[in-house]
Amino acid sequence: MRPASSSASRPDENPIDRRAARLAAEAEASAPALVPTPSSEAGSAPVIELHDLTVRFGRLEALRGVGGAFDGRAIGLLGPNGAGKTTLIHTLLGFHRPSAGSARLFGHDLGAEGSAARALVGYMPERDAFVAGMSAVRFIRMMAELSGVPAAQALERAHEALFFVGLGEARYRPLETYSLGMKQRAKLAQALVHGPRLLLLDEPTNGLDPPARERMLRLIRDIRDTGDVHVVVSSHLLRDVEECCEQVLILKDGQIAHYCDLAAERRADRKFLELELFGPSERFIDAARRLGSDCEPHGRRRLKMVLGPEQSVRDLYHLAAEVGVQIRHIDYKRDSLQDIFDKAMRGDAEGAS
Amino acid sequence: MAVFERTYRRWQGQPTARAGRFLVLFRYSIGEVFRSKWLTAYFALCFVYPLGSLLLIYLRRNAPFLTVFPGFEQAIAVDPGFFGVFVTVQQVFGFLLAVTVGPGLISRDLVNNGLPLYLSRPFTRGEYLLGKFSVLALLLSAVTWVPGLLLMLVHSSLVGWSWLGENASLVAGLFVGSWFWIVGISLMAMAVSAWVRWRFLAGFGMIFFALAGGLFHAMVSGITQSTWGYVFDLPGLLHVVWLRLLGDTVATGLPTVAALIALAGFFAFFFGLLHLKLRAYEVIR
Repeated sequence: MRPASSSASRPDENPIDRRAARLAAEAEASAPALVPTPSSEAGSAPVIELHDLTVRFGRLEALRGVGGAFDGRAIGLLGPNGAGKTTLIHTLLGFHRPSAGSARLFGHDLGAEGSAARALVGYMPERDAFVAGMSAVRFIRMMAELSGVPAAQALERAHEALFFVGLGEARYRPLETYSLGMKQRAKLAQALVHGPRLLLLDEPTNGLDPPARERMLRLIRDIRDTGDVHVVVSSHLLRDVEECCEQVLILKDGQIAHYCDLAAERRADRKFLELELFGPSERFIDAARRLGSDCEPHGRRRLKMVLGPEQSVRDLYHLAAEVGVQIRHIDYKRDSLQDIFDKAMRGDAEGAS
Repeated sequence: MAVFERTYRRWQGQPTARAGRFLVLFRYSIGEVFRSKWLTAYFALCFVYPLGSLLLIYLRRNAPFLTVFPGFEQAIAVDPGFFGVFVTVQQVFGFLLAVTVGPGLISRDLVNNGLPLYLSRPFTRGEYLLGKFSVLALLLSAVTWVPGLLLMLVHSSLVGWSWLGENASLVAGLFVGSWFWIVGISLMAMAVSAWVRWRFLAGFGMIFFALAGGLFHAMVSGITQSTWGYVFDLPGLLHVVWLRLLGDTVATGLPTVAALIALAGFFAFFFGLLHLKLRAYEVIR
């Protein structure tokens, strides 16, 4: 992904972060997920391409000059309320006309070739959305036919989609008799039935109980893992995004606040440790640095550390014994999505001030 | 793929032609309409008057019947007045049909937030409206110009095919007038159901709109001692235009051009309402 919008993330002066950033860059270079995934159909066009996209509602600017090309297989769209997540999705679906700039899906300009672009998209809205009085299979079949699937194949696809989302046994029941979790899955089925290449999921776990939520996330992961379809998941729930997305796009105030590859972040932070020491910590730090670790004191007794490539945690205990320091606490740490999100929000605030 | 495999796979077939995509919505909507036995029974009832008219047309040329009732042929004249009564009766049946069917077509989608599902596909608002309009157009055609033209054809086959040529303006009037009426009533049904959303309330809304228009018409006409009150009364206007097209020049004193302009105003108003209300997202102000 190559975001072109003003980003809030800035290189940090902290050596730990520098090291982490270097490792992240190395991981990014080797990560296939970030590389555009041209298929025979897609050519070389990015999945989503935004050029200075601005959407205004009266005086309110919901999106402000958002730009970038996004090729990720599973992108999580995060941001606080009013950040512009749903507006971005709606704009990609052609519900909102951009006030300035443009957007493309698989190379199709949304202004000039909106229908062609929408033919490649499946959309699962945030709110309850169905047509009352219809059985699920009839509803899904109709949606498939409206997307251009011939009637006979649409029926077959409707059955398949409902079985896939786990509604096979309930497929002849009227939609209005479904529970919330079943309605969510029916929405997912209608989004999938015509075989889209991009799936836009707006709060897919909204209102679901834990088992239903886990089931929904598993479905999203299954879809992602087929490799046939790109998934964009908009959610308030960081854990949901963390569980099923490979990249994260964080929006704030209608702008891109941060974009990162979660897999690369995880790889980069694998040996990031937090230690609590008792004793002459300076000697321990000097010794650790000599062995190739990056250390950064964090408070009076705490220490953040990235181990050298040949080092293990056991070596730290040997080192501590040699220099007469007690390791009272040691913990593997990595930047969780919550940290990344907080950093993006904070970074933007700092940048603005 | 067998359903038991339950794995996701993309569909990569050849999509259907875009031009006829609205017919998918039409097909499903009409199927939903006729799931109601009551509505099916009422739809059948709408053909009682045309069948009665057909019987009259047949009997006035039936020799054995005329020997028993010799004055019958003179008593029943098949002329513009005959078809004027026909369209008046069928308008009432048709309007009630539109009141029953129309509100459910759009409000059911709106109340359950179904529009984003339609409009996130290669399917536009225009196609959505066309698909829903087609349902009403088919049903209302079936009770207006289709039986009307059939009556004319039967009458012509009995009295001689030259009757059709001699009464071409009557034939054209029935057809064109029917379409004015169908478009007007359908737009009203769709606009009211898009505005009100709740199906039963939308049905009452249609009746209210028609009655209020008639009441306003009577008030304005009474105060101004003219027929200009018609410009506020959509069903009245449609009726006047239809009768004019059937050759009835004394229906009202309202100029035809004024009636057509007023109709255009109503149509624009309904399109405006539909444009405002048929959106894939909720506008929160």
